[in-house]
Amino acid sequence: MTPPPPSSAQALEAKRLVAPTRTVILVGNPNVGKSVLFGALTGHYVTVSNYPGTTVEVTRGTATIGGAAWHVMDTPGTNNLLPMSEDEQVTRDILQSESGAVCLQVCDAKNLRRGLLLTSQLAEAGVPFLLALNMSDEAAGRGFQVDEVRLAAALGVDVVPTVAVQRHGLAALQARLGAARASRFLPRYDERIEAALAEVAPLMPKGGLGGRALGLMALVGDDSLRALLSARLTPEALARVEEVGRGLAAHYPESLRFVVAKQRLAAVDRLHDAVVTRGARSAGSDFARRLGAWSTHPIYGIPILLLVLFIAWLFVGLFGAGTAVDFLERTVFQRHLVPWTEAGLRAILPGGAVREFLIGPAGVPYQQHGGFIIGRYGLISMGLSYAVAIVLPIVATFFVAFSILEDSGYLPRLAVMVNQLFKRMGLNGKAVLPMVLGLGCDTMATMTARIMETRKERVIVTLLLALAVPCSAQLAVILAMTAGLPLAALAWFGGTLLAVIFLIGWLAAKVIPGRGSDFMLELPPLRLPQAGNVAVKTLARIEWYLREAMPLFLLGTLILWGLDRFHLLAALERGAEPVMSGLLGLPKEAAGAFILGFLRRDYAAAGLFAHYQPYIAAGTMTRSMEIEVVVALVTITLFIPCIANFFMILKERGLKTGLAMMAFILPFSLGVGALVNLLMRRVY
Amino acid sequence: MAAPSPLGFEHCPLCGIDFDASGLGCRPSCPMATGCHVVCCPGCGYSFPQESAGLAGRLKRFLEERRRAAAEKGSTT
Repeated sequence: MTPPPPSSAQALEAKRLVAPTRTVILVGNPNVGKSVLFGALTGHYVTVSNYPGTTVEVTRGTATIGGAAWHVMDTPGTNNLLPMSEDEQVTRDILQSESGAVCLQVCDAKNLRRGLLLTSQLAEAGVPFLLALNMSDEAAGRGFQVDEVRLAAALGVDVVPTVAVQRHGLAALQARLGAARASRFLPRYDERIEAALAEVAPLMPKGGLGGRALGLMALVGDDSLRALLSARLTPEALARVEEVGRGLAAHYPESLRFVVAKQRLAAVDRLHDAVVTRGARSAGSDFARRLGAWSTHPIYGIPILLLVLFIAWLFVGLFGAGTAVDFLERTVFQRHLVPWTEAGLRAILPGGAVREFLIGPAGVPYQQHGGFIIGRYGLISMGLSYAVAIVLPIVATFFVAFSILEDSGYLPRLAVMVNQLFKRMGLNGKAVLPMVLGLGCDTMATMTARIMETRKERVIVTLLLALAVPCSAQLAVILAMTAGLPLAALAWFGGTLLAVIFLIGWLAAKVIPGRGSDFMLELPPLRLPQAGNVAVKTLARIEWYLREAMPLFLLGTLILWGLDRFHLLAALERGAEPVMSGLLGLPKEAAGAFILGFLRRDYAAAGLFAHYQPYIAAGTMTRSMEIEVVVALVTITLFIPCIANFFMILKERGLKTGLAMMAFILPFSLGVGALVNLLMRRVY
Repeated sequence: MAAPSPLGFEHCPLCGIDFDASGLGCRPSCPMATGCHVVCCPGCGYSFPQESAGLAGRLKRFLEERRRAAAEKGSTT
């Protein structure tokens, strides 16, 4: 479509487009309202183009501020000027190339700590800037009170509260833009880092970013800076920078990037605590700070992790899977609900084929007939009973434990701990994030695999998720089942899974070309969990579980009922017998559980739990049964993913790759199960 | 553009950021989206059941109102 000819006002604006005298660059974390502010500043005349050599879009426009024409650039959302992604690298490169520009940092006032991390890097870079505390109305509504005057004094730059969507604070921003200045807030690092910085900073090339910021990037080994340094430094200077960086890195067990980020975060925490007078503070006490540090420590973190898992295991296994399941299954369902429902239906339904179809013949125990509502595979006697009497108490107690971990701030520390362990096994650091997220929901974690840079990496992460990372509901049932096992059997189960994860991870790290990247995650404060928050989180998860799992449980029961009714279940069990009994050493009834594992893996685990629970409760588990439980748990954990995850895999990775993964996972899980069966029967 | 509703605010348990969940759920991307109340954090991608909706949302608002009332009572005495 041909655009209409410009009006005189548009022509005037077009002239302004080509004659800006100054440049302002909008920077900020993702989702802080930067683009809304950009639109408010520039109006409609913007151009969007890819940053040279990338697929990252950069938006440019002009604005008349204080009578002068300004060139305005909107950069991609960034959390770090030490780039972890192409978006962040583009933002860093724009800041470096636009010498003489001023910055407008847009910060979400509700998440000030996250914004201040970027502020501290702009300060280190010596870039003149001012800070827009956007969404200040939402922050106030949520109880955050930011002392802007104190913050401005500490930073040495102007701080303006804004509500971009309502254009509040826009005039104040425009009025102060011309007076943007470099901040005096410079985090101090330890003596070794400061000494190295003092040596390399003067060698850095001139540009939009100062020597201190570029020097830090060079010291931590930022590869994305290599081209610039190679082009602008003499070979001797470049060699010296690399030598100082190597010497410095040798002093620390962790990566220098991690050390620098940690020390910068400590400086930001102090500033945050000084200016935020209400709401979340960075740490409750010295003890909380110390405990937080221990929980991510490569050595002290491990006993803390084991203690946390042990307490969760006791709570879920003993109380959830023991007391609560026993009460709900035996007392509520078997003694009351099922007989009452049967008696009620028998009283209101006329005798005949319909009644027999729904609740079976009179005088026959329901476990021995194929009634549709009350029967061996009845909707109430099995579907509802599995969902409500077996899995619900287990997942509910697990959700309480999980909510306590979430609300205490331990969960992200667990992610850091796992990351450190995985990196020691040679696993790509970035691959750990989707795997940690899989503890929430594997389906969504599969989508997060997009953060991996190459297709090969994305495929391997998706495979690891589908293979070995249990979602929260499945983890709950696994914990419950392992509670009935002796420690040696538990070690077999845990050891097998860890060996599979690390073996596949190690192979992945060998296969994936290039080096791994660091895993960066903001650590919220460690604090005592609040009872109200835990109750809300637990209720939200239980609601989610009932909404998502219950229909699938009923559907699964319906499938089993149909298979049983048409005598296909017995045929399937006979067909699967060589695998179930021969290869895995499991009872033939386990075939039904594995069939349903495709609907939900926790349903499959629940089927196994229902089979062994009477023996666990009575304390009559034999050695052979213990082996069966370990083999069944290993196989079901590694088994093909649930239906939702399967569809997500097809959507994200394509039909061919998705089916190829299933073709690998199915025989692999059965093969590992068979191997465990073989080994345990010889040496357990 | 209207200001986001305070009822849709979520706090990410993994990275700690607060965000308005309206439009940020994983629902549009998930093949099993119907009826699912899981949201994805825009900061780190962690997915968790929405706490500002359903019964949990009611409990959350009830607790927040009680907290606010207690704070107001404290400030007037």
